[in-house]
Amino acid sequence: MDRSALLRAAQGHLPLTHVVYHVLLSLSGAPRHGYGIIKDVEERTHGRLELEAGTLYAAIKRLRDEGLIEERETPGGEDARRRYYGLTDFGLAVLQAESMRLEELVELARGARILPAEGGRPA
Amino acid sequence: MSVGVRIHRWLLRILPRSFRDEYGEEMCRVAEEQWIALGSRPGILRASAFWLRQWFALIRASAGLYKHETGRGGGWTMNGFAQDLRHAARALVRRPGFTTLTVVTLGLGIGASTAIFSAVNTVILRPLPYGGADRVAVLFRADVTTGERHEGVGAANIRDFRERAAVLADVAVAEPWSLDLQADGRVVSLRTWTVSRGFFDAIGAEAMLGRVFDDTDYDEGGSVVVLSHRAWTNRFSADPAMIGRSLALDGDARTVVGVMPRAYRFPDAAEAWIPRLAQPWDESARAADFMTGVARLAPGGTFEQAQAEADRIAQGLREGHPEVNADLAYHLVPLREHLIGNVRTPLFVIMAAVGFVLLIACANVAGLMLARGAQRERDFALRGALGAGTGRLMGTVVAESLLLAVAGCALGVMLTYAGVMAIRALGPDHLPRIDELSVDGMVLVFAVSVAALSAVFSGLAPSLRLSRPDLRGALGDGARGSFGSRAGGRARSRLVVAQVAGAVVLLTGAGLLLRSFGVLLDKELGFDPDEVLAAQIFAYDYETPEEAAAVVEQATDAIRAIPGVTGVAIGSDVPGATDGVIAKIDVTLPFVIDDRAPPPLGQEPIAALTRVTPEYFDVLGIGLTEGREFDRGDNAQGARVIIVNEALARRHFGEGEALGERLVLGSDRSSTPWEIVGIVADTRPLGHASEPRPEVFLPLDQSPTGSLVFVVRAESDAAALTLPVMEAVWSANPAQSVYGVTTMEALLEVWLKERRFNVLMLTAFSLIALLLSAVGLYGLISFSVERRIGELGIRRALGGRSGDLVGMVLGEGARLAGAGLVIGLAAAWYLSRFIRSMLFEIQPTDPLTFVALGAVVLVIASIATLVPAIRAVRVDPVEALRSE
Repeated sequence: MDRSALLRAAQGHLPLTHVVYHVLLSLSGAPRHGYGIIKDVEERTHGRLELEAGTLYAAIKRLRDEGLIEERETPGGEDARRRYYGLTDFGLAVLQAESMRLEELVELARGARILPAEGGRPA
Repeated sequence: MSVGVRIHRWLLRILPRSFRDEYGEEMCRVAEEQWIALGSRPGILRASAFWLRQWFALIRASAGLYKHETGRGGGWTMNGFAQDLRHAARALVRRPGFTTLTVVTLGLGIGASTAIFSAVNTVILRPLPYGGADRVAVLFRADVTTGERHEGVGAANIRDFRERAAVLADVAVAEPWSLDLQADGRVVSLRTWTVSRGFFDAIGAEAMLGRVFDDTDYDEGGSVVVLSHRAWTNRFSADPAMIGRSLALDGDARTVVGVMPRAYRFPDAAEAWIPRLAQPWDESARAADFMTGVARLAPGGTFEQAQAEADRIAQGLREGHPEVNADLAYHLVPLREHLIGNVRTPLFVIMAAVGFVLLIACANVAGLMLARGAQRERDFALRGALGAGTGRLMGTVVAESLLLAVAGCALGVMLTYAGVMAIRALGPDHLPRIDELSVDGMVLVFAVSVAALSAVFSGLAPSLRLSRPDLRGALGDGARGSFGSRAGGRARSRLVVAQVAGAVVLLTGAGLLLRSFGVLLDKELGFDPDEVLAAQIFAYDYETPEEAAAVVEQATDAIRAIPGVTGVAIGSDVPGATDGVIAKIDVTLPFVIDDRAPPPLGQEPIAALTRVTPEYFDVLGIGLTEGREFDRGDNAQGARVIIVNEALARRHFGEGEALGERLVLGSDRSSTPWEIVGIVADTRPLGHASEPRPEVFLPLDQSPTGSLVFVVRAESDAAALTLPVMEAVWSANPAQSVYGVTTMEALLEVWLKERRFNVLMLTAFSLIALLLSAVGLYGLISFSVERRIGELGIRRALGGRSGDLVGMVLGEGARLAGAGLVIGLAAAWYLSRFIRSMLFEIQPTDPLTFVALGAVVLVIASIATLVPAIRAVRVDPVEALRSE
C-alpha cells in the first residue's frame, strides 16, 4: 500500500481513545511487553495514566485484530513467556494521523485564542 | 501468590474464552508485577484501591469485548446476558447512592460473616496438627460418687493404669516443670513439661527437627531435651545445628534431640519437654491431680470401650489403694473436645449472630432492589409491551444483582482481612490456635458462596416481581404500578419487619452478655489489683534454708529500693494466678478445730493455705476485719499464729468468736495447733467469676517455702517495674531465675478476656444489625412518602395540619417497628437459652435487658422515621399536585 493510501485507511480509525493513543505512542519507540507498556505510559504521563491489566489487554487485542500492532520476537535473555508487541507500518500511520488531527485541533484552539501562540501566554 | 492475584485469576472467567486463552496468563503476570511494584506492605487502603481498580477494569474490558464480538456477528450465546451486564453496569453508575448503599450493606454482611467463619474454620474445623488426633483422649481424675472432675491425674496411678490398659495404648502423663537456662550471664526460666514414656506417641506428635523421645532416652536416665519452636527461634536463633548440642539446664547437661513444629502446643505452649522418670514421691502422691494425662485408643478400640476399661481400672485402683484412691474414677475426654470444648458454644453463637447480620443485609438489599424496581416499573412495563420476554426482563435484574454481589464480595473480602486482623489484635488467647488465623482458600470460597447466595436471595424476589409487570397498572395510573401497589408495599414491609426482628434478637443477646459482664466487673475482688506487680521465683537450689532466706531478703530489700516502689511483700501464692505467667501454687489441706470433737478421718473441712510476709495484706489491699496482721515477731521462735479469711470464720465460728481459736492443720492431729490472731476480707481466687473459699494464711517465717511470689506495689505504671524487679532478684543472686513477672491486672485479664471478646463481637454485630435495619426502615418510609406525595399534597391543600401528617408517617413506621419488635422479642425469649452458659448471674430472660432494648429499638426506629416524616410536612401542595 502506498503512503497516501495508508494514510487514507488510517483516517477510518480516528479518533483514538487516549488509552489506545498512549499504547501506540509507547510502542513507537521500541517493541515492549505488557508490563513495559504500562511502566512507559506511566513515566511518559508522569503517573497521570496508570493502566490496569484488563484495560491494557483489551486494547492490545483490538489493536492486533485491526492490524495496528503485531507480536514480535522476545529478545534473547528475556523471559520467554513475556510477549513483546511492536507497531506495524499501518499502526504508525494511524498514530501519525491521530497526532496530526490533534495538532490541527490545537492550532484551531490557538486561532480562537483559547491557547496562547507558541511560547506566549493566553490573552 | 497473594489473594488479590488469586481473585484476579478467578475473575478472568468473566472474559470471553478465546480472549482468556490468548491473554489470561499474561494479564495475571502483569497484574502481579504491578502489585509487586506497589511495595511489600502497601497498606490496606492502597491495596484495596489497587485491586478494585484492576477488577473493575476487568469487568469493563469484559463488557467491551463481548460487545466487540457480538458486533461482528460472532456466535456468542450469552450475548444477551453480556448486554444485560453492560446495561446494568451503566444503570448502577448512574445511581451512585443506591449502588453505594447496596454494596456497603452487602460488603458488611459478607465481610463480617467471612471473618468470623475464618475464626471458626481455624479453631474448630481445621484438623489438629497431630497424627490421628481423633483417637486421643485426655484423662481426668474424677470423684466416683459426685462425678466432679479434677484438674488432672497423679503419676503412680497412671503408671498402673498403663500396665492394665488394653483398649488404651500409650497412656502417659505430663507434669509442669521449669528448667533454669544460663543465658547472657543471667539465669532464665524455661517453661517445661516433664513427660512420661510414650507421651508423644499418645499425642501422635512428631518433631520438626530431630526426633521426640524414644525408649532408650528413658532407659538411659533421660538427659535429653526437646525444644519448642518458640524457644528454638527466640533463644537459639533457629539454629539447625542445635540438634545434638548439649545445654546446661538446672546445672545438668542435656542433649537437644528435637525441635517441635510451631503449631505444637500440648499440654500448653511450653518451651521445652524432658523425659519424666519415676520419682520416689510418686507412690505417696497417688491422689495428686495436677498432671495432664493422655491416652491413645489402640487400633479398633472405641471411646466407649476405653471409658469402660477406665472405669474397671479405677475400681481396681480404689481397691488396691483405698487410703488415697477411695473416691477415684477416670473421665476420658477426646482431645478435640478438651481443646475446643468450651469455646465451641460462644463461637457458634457469634457465627449465628453473624448469620443474622447477613440475612438482615440481604433483606435490606432486597428491599432496596424492590424500591428501585418500583421506580423503573414503567420502563419495564414498556419493554414488556414492546415484546421483551420474561427471561429478558429477569436477566436485567439478575445482571444487576450479580454486579452488586461481585462488588459487595470484593468489599467483603477486604473487610474480612480487616476483621481477621482485628480478631488477632484482640488477642483472645482462649481461642486455641487463633494465632494461625488467616484468610485461606476455604475462607475465600465461603465469601464467594455467601456473595452468590445473597445475590440470589436479594435479587430473586425483585426479579420475579419485575418480570411480570402489570402493564395496565404501571402505565395507566400515574407513576404507581404494582410496586407502588399494595402487594409491592407489603413485600417490602415484611422485609423491614423481619430486619427489625433480627436486630432485636441480636441486640438482646448482646445486651444480656453486656449486662452479665457488668455484673461480673461489679464483683468485689477483695483486693486491689491496680499498680501491683507479681514476680514468681522458685528458691529451692540452695544448700541451707538460711542461705535461701538471705537471698530472698536481699532481693526484697533491692526491690524496695527501686524508685517508685511503695511496698513489697511475699506470698507463696497470689489471687488470680493461673498456670500462665504466674504458676498457681494451690495448697489445700484438711484442718480440725482444737478442743472440738473432730470429724471422722477423711471428712475434715478443707482450707487453702498461703504463706505470707507481714506486709502481704497491706500491699494487696486486703482488708483486716478483726484482730491483727502478722508482724516481725511471728517468726520461728514465736508462737504459731495464723490469719483466716471471713469465709472460714463464718463457716466454722459464730460472729466474733474466731479470734483466739486454734486450728490443727494437716492430717496429723497430734501436731501443734495454730492460733487465729486475725481475720481478713475474702478474696476471689480465680478472677471475678470465682467464689471466695475458706483460706488460712501462715507467717512465711514460721512455715518457710521456696515457692515465692514477690508482690510489688508501685506509685504508678507497675508494668514498667518488670525489668528492675528482675534485676533486683539477680542482684541478690545472678543464678536465681525469675519464673514469671506480670501485673495483677494482667493476671485478672486472663479471666475476663474470653467474656470481653464475646461481648465485643456480639455488640459489634448487633449494632451493625441495628444500623442496617434502621436504614431499611428509613428507606421504606422515605419511599412511601415519595410515593404518596400527591396524596400528602392534597391533604395539605385541604388544610391538613403538620402534626397530623407527621403523626401519619410516624405511625406507619411505628407499626412496622412495633411488629418487628414483638416478633424479635418473642424470638429472643426463645433463643436466649442458647447463651445461658455464657451468662454470669443473669437469666437468659432478664426482663430489664428486654425492656431496655425494646426502648432503644423504638427510639432508633422513630429517628429513622422522623426524617421522612419531616419531609412529608414540607411538601408543597402545588408542586405535589403538578407532579401527579
